Amino acid sequence: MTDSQLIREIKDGNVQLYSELVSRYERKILAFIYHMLKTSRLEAMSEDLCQETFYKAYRSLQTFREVEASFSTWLYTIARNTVLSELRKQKNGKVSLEQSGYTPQTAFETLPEQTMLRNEKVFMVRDAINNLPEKQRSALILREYEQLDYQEIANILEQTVSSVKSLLFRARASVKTQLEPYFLEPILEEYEGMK
Amino acid sequence: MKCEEVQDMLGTYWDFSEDDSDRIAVDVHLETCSSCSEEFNIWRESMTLIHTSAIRLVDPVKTSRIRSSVMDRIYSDEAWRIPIPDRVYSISYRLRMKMTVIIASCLALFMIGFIYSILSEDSLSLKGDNLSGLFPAASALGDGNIDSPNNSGTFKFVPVASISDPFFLKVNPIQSFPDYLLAISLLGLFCALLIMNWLSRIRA
Repeated sequence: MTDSQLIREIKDGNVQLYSELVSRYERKILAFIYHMLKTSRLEAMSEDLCQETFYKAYRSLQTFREVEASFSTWLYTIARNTVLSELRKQKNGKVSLEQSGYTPQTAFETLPEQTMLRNEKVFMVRDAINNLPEKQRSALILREYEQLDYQEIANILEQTVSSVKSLLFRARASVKTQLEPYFLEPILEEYEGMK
Repeated sequence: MKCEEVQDMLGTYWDFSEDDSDRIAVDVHLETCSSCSEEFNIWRESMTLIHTSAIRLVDPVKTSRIRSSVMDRIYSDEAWRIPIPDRVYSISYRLRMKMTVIIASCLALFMIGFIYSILSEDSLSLKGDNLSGLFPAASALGDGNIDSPNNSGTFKFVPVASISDPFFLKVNPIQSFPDYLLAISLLGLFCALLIMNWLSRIRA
């Protein structure tokens, strides 16, 4: 059953099917929220925000028009707004990942040395991304982590495609500039050697 | 392509497809320009770092927890949407146990009555024709003529307004103990199920 069929059924009152719709997107939305949250005391909060996103989506499902955006794009928009609203409320976006003791899992092997290097690397990149202005940060996360295309990102951020290209260019350039000093450090050489 | 143009394109180079003409032009330039190539390597390293720091969620428990929380929240707001099978759990455990005992008793009663009626079938050996209380009064099998009364004073063939053979309704009265058991057990079973259904609706 396609998303459209599911949504039609749910709108007709077959609410049980919403569980199926949630199961299709929960991992993507949860990962997106993880990436969007600047701190990681928020690990537990990311689940709550994910739940809140799907709940809000259900409450607004009657107003959802598929001609305007795909369901996934619509969900990302809700998730982003939910996270930004929460970050505004918390106002603790400056707590660093190291302080929190958060060790996110990436697609790498987990030998002790590799884990340490990975964590260093992740903190470094996350710091660089967290320092970006909000729209650049969102655009970069949606493009690099969620693999969305320009048009989808434009819909989510309510920007034109050319603005999205510009945002991405500036975001990547800024991250590159921030990471550049680390490129010559031994940690990365070691890391490359391990690869 | 000039170096300035290539430098401007390095930020969006990563979004180009393999066969994109701009990407091919940049690749061709990089083969011949060492300074642009060096800059490109820094960009590539930066992009690799971004990609490799992606968080991979591997815990299915978390996601199933999210799903059930969302559905619970929806159902708590709109209780009438809870599926019927799930609503049974809104009935208290003690009441469910009582209803289960009643249903089990009815089923047991039904089985006993059924087996008893089978075993005692021969002894009863009831003839349906005699028990129905209906007797054939006329038949349309004749040639349509009214025969003269026979010796006993009755008509042999009586014409009726029918185009088919007469139908004899054979309804036997409940006249044995096992039949009563079967009827009572089925009645009890249906009543118990209807009550369960009703309770699940009003308590959800």
